[in-house]
Amino acid sequence: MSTNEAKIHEPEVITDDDLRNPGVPATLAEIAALGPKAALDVINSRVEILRTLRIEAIRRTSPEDWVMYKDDKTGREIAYLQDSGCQRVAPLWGIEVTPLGFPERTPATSAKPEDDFAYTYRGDGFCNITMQAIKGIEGTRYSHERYAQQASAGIQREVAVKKAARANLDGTIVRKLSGLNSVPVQELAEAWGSKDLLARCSKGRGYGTQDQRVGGAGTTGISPTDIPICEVCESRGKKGTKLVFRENAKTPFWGCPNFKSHEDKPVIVNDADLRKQIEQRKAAMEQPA
Amino acid sequence: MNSTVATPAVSTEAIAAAWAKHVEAEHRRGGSFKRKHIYASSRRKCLRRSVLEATEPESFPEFDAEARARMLRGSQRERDIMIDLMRVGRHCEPRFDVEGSQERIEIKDRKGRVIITGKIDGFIHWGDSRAKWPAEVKTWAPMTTDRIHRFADLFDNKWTWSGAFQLLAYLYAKNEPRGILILDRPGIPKLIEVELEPYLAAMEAFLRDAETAVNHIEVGTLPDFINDVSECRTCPAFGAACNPPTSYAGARVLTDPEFIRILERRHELEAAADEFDHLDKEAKKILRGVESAIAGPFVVSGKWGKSTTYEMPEDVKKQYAKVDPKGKFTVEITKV
Repeated sequence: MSTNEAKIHEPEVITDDDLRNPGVPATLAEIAALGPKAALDVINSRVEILRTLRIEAIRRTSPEDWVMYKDDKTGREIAYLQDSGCQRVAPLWGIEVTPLGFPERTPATSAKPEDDFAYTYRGDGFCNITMQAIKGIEGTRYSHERYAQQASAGIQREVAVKKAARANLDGTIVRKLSGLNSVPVQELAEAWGSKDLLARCSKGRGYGTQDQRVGGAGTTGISPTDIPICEVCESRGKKGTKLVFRENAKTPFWGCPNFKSHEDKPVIVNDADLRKQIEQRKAAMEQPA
Repeated sequence: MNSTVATPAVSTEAIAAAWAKHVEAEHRRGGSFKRKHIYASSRRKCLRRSVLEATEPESFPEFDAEARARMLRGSQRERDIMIDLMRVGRHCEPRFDVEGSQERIEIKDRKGRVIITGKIDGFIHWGDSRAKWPAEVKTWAPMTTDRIHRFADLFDNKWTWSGAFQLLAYLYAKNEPRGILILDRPGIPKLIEVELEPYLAAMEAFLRDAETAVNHIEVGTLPDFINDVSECRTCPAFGAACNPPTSYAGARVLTDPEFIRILERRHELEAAADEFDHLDKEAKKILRGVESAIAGPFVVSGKWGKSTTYEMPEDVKKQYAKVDPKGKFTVEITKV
């Protein structure tokens, strides 16, 4: 190459302030070379930016975007950000998704439209904040899932599963690059500034049976809407306190969980009487007018 | 042997489910069919989507019961409004007739290919003059309709953008310089007169895009991705017929320690500043008109000054209103 054609590349000057940005690549040796105080400032700055991003990302989601899981043995509660919630945080984290090729159907063809199948998308991801890249990520969805069953068998179900698989690819990349794959539930409450919002999160494994998690009858066989409320607690401002089933008593009954605060006014409902009342009420509703 | 028949529980859910079935039966999606042109009502910012809608309509999700109910209502209102319009024409000065309901239009390119088709709701034919206004009825959400005062406003909203091009296409196809947009609303519909000439450049852009789309349809290719994640995310083809890369720039990271110190100090003073503003406003409200006063250790002095306001009729204000979509910049700073 002749001198006339040579391109002059100006060296990029990275200042100490630039190093505070977690997106600016730097080795520990380069940071340490700044000196102990400056190095600590740089590291603290990087940590703080990532912390702020994480909190703000959680703040941008709504409780309905999360599914909570509980470990039966340790009681540890963690939350998983669903694909829909990932779309809210992707702009903040600067996520890029590059799908690779066409989605793969498993099996490749089906004898009947009603036969089960799955679609898998593969793709790479990149975060414009941390400059982190991940490759070869998969997003898979299945035709037996509820949203797919709501679409008519055939092309519409294929379309629904494909779209869900792409959403899963995008969501997986967002979760991995933003570190929101497995978030302690306490962290959600702190970011939202309220523990009450956790009640709106979906409940997964560890929170009772599937039926109970969606407000079903559970092991007592009585629907939550039929469980009586403690009138004493109600009159004292503790509204909505439902009675709790004491099945191990000599005669099973329903009692107030706050009974110690009003021992002078015990609230006890005999279990057999309650079930009889519920049956009678249901029978009355089913009778034609 | 006694037998009992369980009757379904009476509930609003049962009524809602039956209503959804009724709507699906009334608004059955006609079998998807491929075509070699663009619909006048389906101008898209993304050409790839336009081509896919014509070549792979089956790979777009079907509308749910809620969307179908809205479309059904739109069709019903359009019929009712056109019937009313016929009656209104008899009382109008000058008189007009309504004719040509659901007339099909075609726009061809220089090669003679049909590139855009559509169906006009009707024409307002004025008295004995030859003036014929293509008329288009739209039933949009009340909040959307409330924000429309002129035809130009339709281009500011993604839900009304394609509707604007639909009427322009009809004016162009019928070589009519004027038309009317009839917007359904509670009360008398909003009537917006539309002139083709100021929007000829926009109409030509539509024709160019339609021609490009038809070129792709004919050879079986697809235009490039639009590279606009906000369009892709709301496109029904995303993830099914179309699989584009998506990219967000991300939050800008500001690292200047001096600037962060400014934000910290601002945060420390924020509550005090809010309290100051509130008390200052309260005090000055009480002291309005007081030219001299003593209150405890405080001395007050007030003075009247000139203020100029312009009282303008609403229609004149609207005529000179200029909307700059980026005229205002609001900043919110929160410490997390």
